[in-house]
Amino acid sequence: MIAEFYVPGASFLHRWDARAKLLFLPLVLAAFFVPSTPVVLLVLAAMIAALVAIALGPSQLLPPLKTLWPVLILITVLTPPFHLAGPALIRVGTVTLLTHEALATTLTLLARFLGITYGFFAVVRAMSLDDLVLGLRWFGLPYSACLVVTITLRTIPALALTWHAVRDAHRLRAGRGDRGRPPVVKTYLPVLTSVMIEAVKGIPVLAMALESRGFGRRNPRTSFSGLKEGSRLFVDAAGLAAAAVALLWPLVVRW
Amino acid sequence: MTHHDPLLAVQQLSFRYPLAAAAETAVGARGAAGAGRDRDGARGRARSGAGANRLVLDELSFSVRPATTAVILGRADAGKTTLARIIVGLVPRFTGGGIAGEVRLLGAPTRSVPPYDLVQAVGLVAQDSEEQLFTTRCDTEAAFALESLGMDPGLMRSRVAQSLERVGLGGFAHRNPATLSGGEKKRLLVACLLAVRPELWILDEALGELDHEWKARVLEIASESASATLLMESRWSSLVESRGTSFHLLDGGRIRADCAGAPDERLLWALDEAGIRPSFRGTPPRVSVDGALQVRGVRFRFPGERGFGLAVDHLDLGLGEVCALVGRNGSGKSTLARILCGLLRPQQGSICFSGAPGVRSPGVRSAGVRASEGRTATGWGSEGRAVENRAASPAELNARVGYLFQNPDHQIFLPTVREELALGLRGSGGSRTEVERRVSDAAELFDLADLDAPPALLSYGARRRLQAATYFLLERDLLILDEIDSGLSYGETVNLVDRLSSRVPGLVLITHDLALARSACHRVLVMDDGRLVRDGRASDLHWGAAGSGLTASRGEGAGASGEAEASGAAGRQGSS
Repeated sequence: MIAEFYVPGASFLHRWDARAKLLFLPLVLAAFFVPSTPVVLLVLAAMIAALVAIALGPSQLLPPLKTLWPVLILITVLTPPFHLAGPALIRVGTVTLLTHEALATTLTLLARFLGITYGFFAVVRAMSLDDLVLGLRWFGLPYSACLVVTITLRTIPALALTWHAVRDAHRLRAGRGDRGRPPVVKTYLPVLTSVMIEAVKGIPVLAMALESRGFGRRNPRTSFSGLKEGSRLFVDAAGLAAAAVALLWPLVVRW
Repeated sequence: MTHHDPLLAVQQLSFRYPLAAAAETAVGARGAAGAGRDRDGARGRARSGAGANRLVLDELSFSVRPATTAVILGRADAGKTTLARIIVGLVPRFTGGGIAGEVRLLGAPTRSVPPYDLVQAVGLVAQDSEEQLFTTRCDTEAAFALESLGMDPGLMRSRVAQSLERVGLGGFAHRNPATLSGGEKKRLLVACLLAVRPELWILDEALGELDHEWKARVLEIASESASATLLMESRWSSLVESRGTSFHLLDGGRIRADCAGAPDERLLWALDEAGIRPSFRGTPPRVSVDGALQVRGVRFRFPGERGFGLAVDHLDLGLGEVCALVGRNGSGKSTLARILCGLLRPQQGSICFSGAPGVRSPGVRSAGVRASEGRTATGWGSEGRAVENRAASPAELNARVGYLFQNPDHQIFLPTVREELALGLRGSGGSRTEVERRVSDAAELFDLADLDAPPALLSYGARRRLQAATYFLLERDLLILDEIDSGLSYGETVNLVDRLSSRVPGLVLITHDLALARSACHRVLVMDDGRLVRDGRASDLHWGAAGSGLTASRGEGAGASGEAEASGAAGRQGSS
């Protein structure tokens, strides 16, 4: 997935050290769950969206929205009816449609969804899978666990490719008289079954591939890629500290 | 170990898969044995012997000396891949099974050594490249084994860069291997070996998806980088003949014929009998069926792709002819095939069927077929009058043009052979008895004796036959076979083509093998950089001097013995 999301580039977000980016993610989560007001959370979400627009380009604001819009609509429509206590903002006859509390809750949820999504999007868009794994290893995750992450993230898009191939095969084998009726070849189940069989068959094959390339040896592994060191890392750490202050200022103000 | 000691010594090696996998090999063997109508069937019967109890390898012995290229030749089910996996330590470690005998590598027995400890001694490029690729970048793929060996990162980066450069993937370091073409994946696997530089290289059908130029270069790289090379091939070619220093025909789990140095008469005779060498039987007779698939002004480019674009201005694929489509890796053969069968929709141009009604489906054949634009072409309707053919919808192309994928596993997916064959017949209007009869007939014709066998456990050759049999039953007007010869012998491939052409009016073979094209096709189309650059008879084409690509040579008899591999830098030397 990350391999599919990642877009090579030279923005400051791309140049930011992988470890700083990995620390940035829990910071984003923390920022949107500290006690705060909806306005503050909306400002935070706007800041992160601005970060995406500046670093990756304004057009990159759209992909997350394309995925999120059904959820955002559901939140907007379904939250107010469950928060009808307190002073009403919109009332039709005796029916209360929107209260202060409902508006605050709706805006809070929208800000959280948008802010966290844009935060994660900014990171995965600007961090290659190799950097992710190197970063995780630096934080102490064992190599075998990192390999699991790598293979999992590679396998999911590979399964998507298999899905397309199997679906194409089903399309080509639909009989001439099949059109107009709901034949089994037009349903998802056979395709899904075929993809699952392919995936299961791939497990021992993958194990063979790994061992034939030396996975399992007792000697210490070295790493083809490396993380930054020296002054550049200091600058990135300072950037992370600035981001922490920017994201957690509501908490600081509260204290 | 002295210089004269063998690098690899296989002594009295026998191997039998455990129960489930035994069914796999047995099905293939029984299938071949069951038909018994043609020479393959007869040979299968002789070879399979005890059926399910057949040994995949039966007291096999041979050796590979330093500075040599040993060639193991054998049909699809001969046990080449099993042998390769035993040598590198993967079998029986991952499959189970009974093994006897000995494999000695660099003088030491390897039976109890795990594969990861053999990395520097032996390396394998497998037939199915997708099986061996698992990272997300070409450079990390090539570096993985070096990381396992604990190599210094600086040296590792240098090795990886050199290796990728050597196989022509220098600019692909950050590319995801999943997005490479079949030939490029094979080259990446060669780069992985090149980075590690093991003593013995095993190339298991590694040349299959490579064009002529890269086949030669890969063998050259192997001979320069390895102490010895073991080449597993299902087909004989001039390249194999010129590069090999010893030849072994693997059949029925044993070495049936072998020789060191130039191949002798006895070996060649055995290869001919096994269908490993191309037999020049003359171009098959053209079937008299009017009509053609017409391609006009087709333009296609993948979304976001700036480099490659397909452009075919005018192409008529006649029903009744067998046509070869050749070209170097990435020239656009598979893309054109996917457009012709409606899996890809061209941005411009039209595809339509024209001609008199066919033998089987007059009502359908008179209809035209539409691509994306509304261009029209004139053809002949079912009453023999001219009709205005409309361009085809993708669904119509799906229903009239079949396409056998390179990877059979993406096309066969049901629990049994019977269900697989019957799938396309459902909804065709036939009774259950009629469907059963047609399934049985097809299974017999394609040597698939066990209808209740799970396709996933069939051998590679049997899966290919099953894949072909499904389309045989679907009765498409045109069938495109994408590198169906990959991993199959000449005899197996020609048999499949013959069986399919007995039912399907038009066949298109995508291949890198000019010898096969000469043997099985009336016409050859050559693609280069997304364009059709040559259209002529297979017998008029042959390989020119190194790097000069395909050339036309009328009347020079280019066919008989020489260039077995086709495709490449074609079409830059005039037209045929």
